[in-house]
Amino acid sequence: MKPYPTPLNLLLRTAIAGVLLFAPWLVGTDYYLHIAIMSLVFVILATSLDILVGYSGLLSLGHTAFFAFGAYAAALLYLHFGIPLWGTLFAGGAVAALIAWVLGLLILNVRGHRFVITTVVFAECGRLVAYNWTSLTNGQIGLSGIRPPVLDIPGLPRIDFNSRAAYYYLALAVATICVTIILRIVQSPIGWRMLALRENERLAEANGVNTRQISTIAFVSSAFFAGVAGALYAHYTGFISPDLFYFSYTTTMLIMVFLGGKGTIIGPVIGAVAFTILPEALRVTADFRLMTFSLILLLLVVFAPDGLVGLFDRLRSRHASARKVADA
Amino acid sequence: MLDVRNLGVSFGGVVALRAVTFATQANQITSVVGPNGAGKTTLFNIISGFQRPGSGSVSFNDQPLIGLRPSRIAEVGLVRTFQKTEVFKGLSVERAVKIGTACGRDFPLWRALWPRAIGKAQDIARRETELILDTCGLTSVARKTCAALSYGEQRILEIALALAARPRLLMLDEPASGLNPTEARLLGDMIIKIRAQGIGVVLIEHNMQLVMRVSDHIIVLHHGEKIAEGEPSEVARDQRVIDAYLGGGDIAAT
Repeated sequence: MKPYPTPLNLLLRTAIAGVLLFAPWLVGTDYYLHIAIMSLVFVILATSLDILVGYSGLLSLGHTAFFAFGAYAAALLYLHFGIPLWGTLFAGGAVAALIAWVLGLLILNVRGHRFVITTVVFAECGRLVAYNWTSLTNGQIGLSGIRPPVLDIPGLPRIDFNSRAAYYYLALAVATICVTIILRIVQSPIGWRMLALRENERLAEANGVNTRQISTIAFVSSAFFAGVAGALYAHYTGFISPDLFYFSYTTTMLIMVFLGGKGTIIGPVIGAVAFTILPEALRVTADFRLMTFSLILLLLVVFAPDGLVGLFDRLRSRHASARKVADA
Repeated sequence: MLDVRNLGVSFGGVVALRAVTFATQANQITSVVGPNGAGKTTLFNIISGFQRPGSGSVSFNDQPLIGLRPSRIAEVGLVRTFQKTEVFKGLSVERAVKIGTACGRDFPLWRALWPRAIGKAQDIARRETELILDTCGLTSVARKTCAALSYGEQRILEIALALAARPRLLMLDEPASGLNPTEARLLGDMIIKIRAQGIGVVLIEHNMQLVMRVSDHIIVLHHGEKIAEGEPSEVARDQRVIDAYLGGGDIAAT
């Protein structure tokens, strides 16, 4: 079943692993490391959204709310109880998952545009709560002073995650673990049931898929990882505000999922990296930055409807068939 | 096996089913026939949990089914197909059936994290899929997308998907509608093959040739009431059945 990797393939994988592992030496400046860390945060967000949008066929426009709830949970736990990142990563995910579960009880029996609208409204409600519950959230001013941890294991050199390079490795580790777990979920029979739900809900139910249960699993697990990403983000920037609930964050995540290639996991990973780097790279175009970015998005939508992954696949199969012709 | 008692339901004053009672035996093909609007699909919807009855009870091997959700009923062993073709359109045939084999099998979330669990599940699914594709004669189109199959093949695929859920009783809603005579004959062979595997079949069908050929037992519905039941030859001679169908004429000839 698993294709044996070709030498080229193996070389490519080694190269990617090498770049990821030695990035702090390769890119040097803090600015580039900042982009790398944000890419990794978005990798978790985009892949977690892919569980819902790509695999289960449930279009959520409120995914950023779970990111924000995770961030707020981490911030509050750190600021009030001094719980370090190691605890808040999990707690951020757990709080987001719990909120998703409760919300799911209310909205997972509706589908189509009604589901989409409820998710938008939910994110907006979250923003209003964060904005107005000033005694807890500090309102518009936001919460600041959320520090990264310092790892002090006796016998080992002290690691201070206040340094960009150290935080990069931390983010890389968290993102790798999250993507691995997400990948395992969607490749397991649970992921197959999500596909059944996406392809034909009535048939899935008739064939033994408890569609209520599987949509809840999809909704809650995707929220969990978004919450983890929120905690990772909060401890990185050290400051969060109700702006995290903004619709533009959700849009960014959806662009990553759709233009990366939904329902593939690797697509959203590529999408997250590409669409975090691209707006930054386009700074060379100065005033034309947003225009150029939009134009690129538009071209991709038109010429790569299945996302970057779909585009690669098409090019590869064309290449393969060309080679077959040459062989014959 | 399946035990339906006094089933009744009405929609806003229109009676769809009135006190319908029947039972099916394991390893038998039971057909439900009757003119359009007789309540056949409503009967299926109630048995499979997609609709609630107004009165009456349904049980399967003494387990009451009313109130269970469709997926639970499928787990108990009662799997249905739909009158309007329903397949997993965007997937390949092989993948669709493979997913079908996992639909009814319990797989808790934490097991996805267990290193070897996924490989094991994949192996089981692959083996079952091969078997089902072979039984249904779909092996040659296994790599095609479901939506790319001919209408007749899609109807067969529907049954393949139902079989993937490991039913003990398979309920087919007009599987032969839209099939040409050759395809209908092959479908009949397949239904008999399914019975030979120890799976009971309940069949709703308008194609009388098919019904007469494969059925062990026939139930005739008319305006929501059971007007006759028995072996094919008995039912075909029943005057009330003949009246209900054509107001005369021979049912076996239609």
